[in-house]
Amino acid sequence: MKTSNGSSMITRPSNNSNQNKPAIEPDDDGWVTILSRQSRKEAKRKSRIVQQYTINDLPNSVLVHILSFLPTIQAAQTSVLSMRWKYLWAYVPALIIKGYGYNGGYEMQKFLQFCRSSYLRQITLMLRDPLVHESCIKWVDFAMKHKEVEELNLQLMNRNRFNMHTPNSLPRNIFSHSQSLRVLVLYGCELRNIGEVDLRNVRKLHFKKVDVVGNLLNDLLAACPRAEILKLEHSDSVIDLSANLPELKKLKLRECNQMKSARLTVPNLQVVKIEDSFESGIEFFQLCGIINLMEAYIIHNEDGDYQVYNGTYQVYANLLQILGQAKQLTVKCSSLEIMYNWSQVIADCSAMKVTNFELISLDDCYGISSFILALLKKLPNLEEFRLHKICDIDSRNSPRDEESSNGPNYGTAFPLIAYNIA
Amino acid sequence: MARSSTENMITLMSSDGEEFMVTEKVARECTTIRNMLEDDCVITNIPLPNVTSDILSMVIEYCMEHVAAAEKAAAETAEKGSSSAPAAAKANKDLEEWDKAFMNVDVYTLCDLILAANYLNVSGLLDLTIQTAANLIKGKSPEQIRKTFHIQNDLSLEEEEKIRSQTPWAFEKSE
Repeated sequence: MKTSNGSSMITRPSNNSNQNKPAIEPDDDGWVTILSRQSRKEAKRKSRIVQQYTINDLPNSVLVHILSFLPTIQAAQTSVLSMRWKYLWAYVPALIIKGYGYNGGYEMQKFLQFCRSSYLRQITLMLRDPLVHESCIKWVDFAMKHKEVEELNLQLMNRNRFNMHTPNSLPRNIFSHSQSLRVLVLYGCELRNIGEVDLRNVRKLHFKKVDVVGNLLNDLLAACPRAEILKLEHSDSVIDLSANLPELKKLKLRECNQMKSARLTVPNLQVVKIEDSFESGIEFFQLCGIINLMEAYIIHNEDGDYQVYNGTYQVYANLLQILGQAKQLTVKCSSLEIMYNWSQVIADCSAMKVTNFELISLDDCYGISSFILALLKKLPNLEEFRLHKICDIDSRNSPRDEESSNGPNYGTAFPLIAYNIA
Repeated sequence: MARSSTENMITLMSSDGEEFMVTEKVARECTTIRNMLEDDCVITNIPLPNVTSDILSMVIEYCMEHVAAAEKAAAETAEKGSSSAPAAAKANKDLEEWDKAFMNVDVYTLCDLILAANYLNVSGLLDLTIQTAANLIKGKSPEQIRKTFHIQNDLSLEEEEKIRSQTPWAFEKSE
């Protein structure tokens, strides 16, 4: 958005001040005398320089940049601010519609018709009304093929999430000419038969509540060789994940409960986050070629049937062996039982590079102190050790301490313990 | 901030004639100045006829803070051999807090800062100020926006009505 056009607009009044500068002493009285000699119009312009600019003095490019952060409807409302603003919003290269339309189906369609002719870089559509979903998908399909869209954020939510899931199927070949796309976010869509895919410049991929048929996701990932960020959330239909993503830096899996196997070749991975996943027990998990893993997170926010952890111990041991290469490892659990299970695995993987280890529990952990001491011996490179919300440390006899059960600070009596190994 | 004496100092001159001595590193945060320096490396005195002294001092303050933060992070990485993730996260958060406090200005100053950031091409500052301006507009009715930014409405009632009728979908819900 920074154009030379922008700066030239502000050069004009100030150049003026520069030319006049020898005549003006930077002294209050000096200003007054000079101003009094000027014509009124000149004086008004001068005083603006001495005083301050208002938003109307900003160049168009900057104003359009500002408007591009607003939902499209609000950007359009600025057309009545003043003459200056009348057409500005139409130059905004972003279409952002959030939560529009329980009653606006017709207007919505008309609007999308209108957008056919405009210039677009970014499309964000978060729509709750199933009635407009179909026309919206058609329109996005059109936009993807005919405009150089760089960012597509398509979130099609059904109002009642307890309804039978009726995902919106994406049309065939929607991504067949998407070389310009850099960011792809899909929520509540179905990938059934997407035909040809060309997402060669996509850097960021985020799928949430996406239904995929068979190995379609793997096919899609194969078409994104330059992806740097991959997030997969609430996607139970993903059973086997397999991809070769040489530039991937961040990987996040959240509530991918049905996943049976994951095989990713990700040499440049730096951050991996696994949250509430693999509830049904994963059978195979492998991250190949990792050289420089910085941070790893294993997070369990909700209680559940975690019997499976015992059954798939070996898989988790393998998983941790991989995640153990991280410099920083964070484990967050909702119950002691899980914590023990995880920690047992951690303890068995003693050859880890972990220098920063963080343990977070959402529940009371009785008698964990001796266990922690045992664990520490297994982490040879540890430099920093943090515990959050864990009550039962050696110095405390009972986790139900009066102090800690009062008020909101419960459980954070030891928010941070730094443990330095000499 | 202690700086080695070998570092190049550059004088920036504001539109009202005030001079600011900054290190070359800080000055290079402004892409416009960086380009000037790269075109002609012996330049030491740069007049900035588009920026007043109070705004220039703020821009310099911003650049210095961000250069210092980057230097600190680099020094930590060099010292430890690798950056510690929590420390880096905290430093980032501190810088964000600083940015937030820095943006606690009136709309006139904000507009001046946007203009200066645009002219000097300080991308971080431009992003920050533009985002701040967008946040000030977000969720407000046109009338409230006019008030916030002191915008004179030069449209007649009929004209305004006409614009509204051209994009009814934009106004049907908020009215």
